[in-house]
Amino acid sequence: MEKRRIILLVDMNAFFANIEQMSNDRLRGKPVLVGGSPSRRSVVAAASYEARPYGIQSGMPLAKALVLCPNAIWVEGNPWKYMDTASRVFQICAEYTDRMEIYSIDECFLDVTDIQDRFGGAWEIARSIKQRIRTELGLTCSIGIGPNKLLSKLAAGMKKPDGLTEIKPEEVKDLLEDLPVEKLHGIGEKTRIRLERMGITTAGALGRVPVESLKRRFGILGNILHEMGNGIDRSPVIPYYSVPDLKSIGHSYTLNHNTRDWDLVHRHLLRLSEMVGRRLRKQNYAGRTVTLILRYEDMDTFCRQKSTSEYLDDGYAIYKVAASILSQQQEDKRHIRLVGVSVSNLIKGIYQLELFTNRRYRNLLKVLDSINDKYGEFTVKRASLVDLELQPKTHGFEHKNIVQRLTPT
Amino acid sequence: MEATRIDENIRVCAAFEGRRVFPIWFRWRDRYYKVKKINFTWKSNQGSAKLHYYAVTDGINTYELCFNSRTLEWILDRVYTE
Repeated sequence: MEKRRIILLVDMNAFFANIEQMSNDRLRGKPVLVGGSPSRRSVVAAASYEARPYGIQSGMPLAKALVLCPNAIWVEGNPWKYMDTASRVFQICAEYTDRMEIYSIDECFLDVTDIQDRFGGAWEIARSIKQRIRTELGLTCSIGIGPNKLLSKLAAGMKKPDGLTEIKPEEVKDLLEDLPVEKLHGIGEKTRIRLERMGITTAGALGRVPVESLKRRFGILGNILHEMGNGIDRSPVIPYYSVPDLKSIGHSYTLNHNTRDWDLVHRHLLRLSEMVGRRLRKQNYAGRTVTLILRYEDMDTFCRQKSTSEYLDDGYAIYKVAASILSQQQEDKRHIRLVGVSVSNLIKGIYQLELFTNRRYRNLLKVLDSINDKYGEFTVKRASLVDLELQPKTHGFEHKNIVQRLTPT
Repeated sequence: MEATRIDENIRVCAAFEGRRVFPIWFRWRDRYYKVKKINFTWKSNQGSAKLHYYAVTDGINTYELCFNSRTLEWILDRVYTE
């Protein structure tokens, strides 16, 4: 007989704020906001549970959050601290099953269908994980147990912080009947409004709408919405070590001040291009399409691509393509707030194809990479980047970095 | 709460137990600070060097100490004061 599918969702509570409260005992029990440097146009990356009653949410501008809660203590974020802690959380979870999907820096799904008997059931597994995270890291998490990812995510959100909630298959129908549709993960504000216009406000009502009717209005999404309304989610837990091939690699940077200093913009663009090149080479990718992203002072975003005949993985070559797009944009009178560059149209294993002809330059890149691998990024850099002033990194996480720290059990 | 970046080399007395390291006291600017509690630890990399961070308290302030496993140096990275 086929075993009943059981999925756990481990959700770290106010993750970054909780870590900061653990690191500094004077922050415990107080409203804490984690974000970027206060001198910048920063947003709240995480708010402690003590700050939430004031209406503060992640993504809110820091200035607004401080108006809502003037007593809140602001802490500058430390992405490396959070990534290392996340990898320790995921390491604990991976000791139970390798069928773990890292969903975000503070959430992972575990498919415990085949291992539940070994650990005394899903509830015991969840309890044990919670206890280990608390004992070994001092942090709390909420765990949801359900017959699929949709319902385990719903369950995890039902009791926070430090919750453990199970939704059993026989409870699903009653639970969904009066549940507001937006509580279902994947139904955002736009979809909620469209459903509301159809007179659908609860998951139960959504499940009763004929699938054809939803398909007519939402296309392929109609089928998924119909299943969501009935608590069905067939998506598998994708193990963290089977990450699909990348579609693009990019970096962006919010400038310290809005500017029309083109020399400065070019230098930031060069630095970002070098970072993209480094990541491409590290992961053995090369790409043919370069995208330049500029965000202006009025938050209007310019985004333009240019494709080349050759595959690129060298930062300077990427910069030259991006700079050629930038040169056409210099007539714009607005000040620039953010610069970004990405490379897409990727191919893996370009070295094996031996498409590169300039071997001397390739060898130079290899030497530079090995120096920067050993002593840190930009230990050796182009002269124009020497005195480029940067804000300390306070946000931005790469799941790949976390995945690379873990090994399958 | 004020965080001050220090980034200065310090003298540290630490215990190595199994695969773990516990700072016991440190000397910074001619003053000794006894580590009353290690609040939190984490790691990061600087090139191939592994950096081991310790958020510790002397009962008054919180200090972030960093041990570089390649250079074997201890750095006082930050101090958090009221």
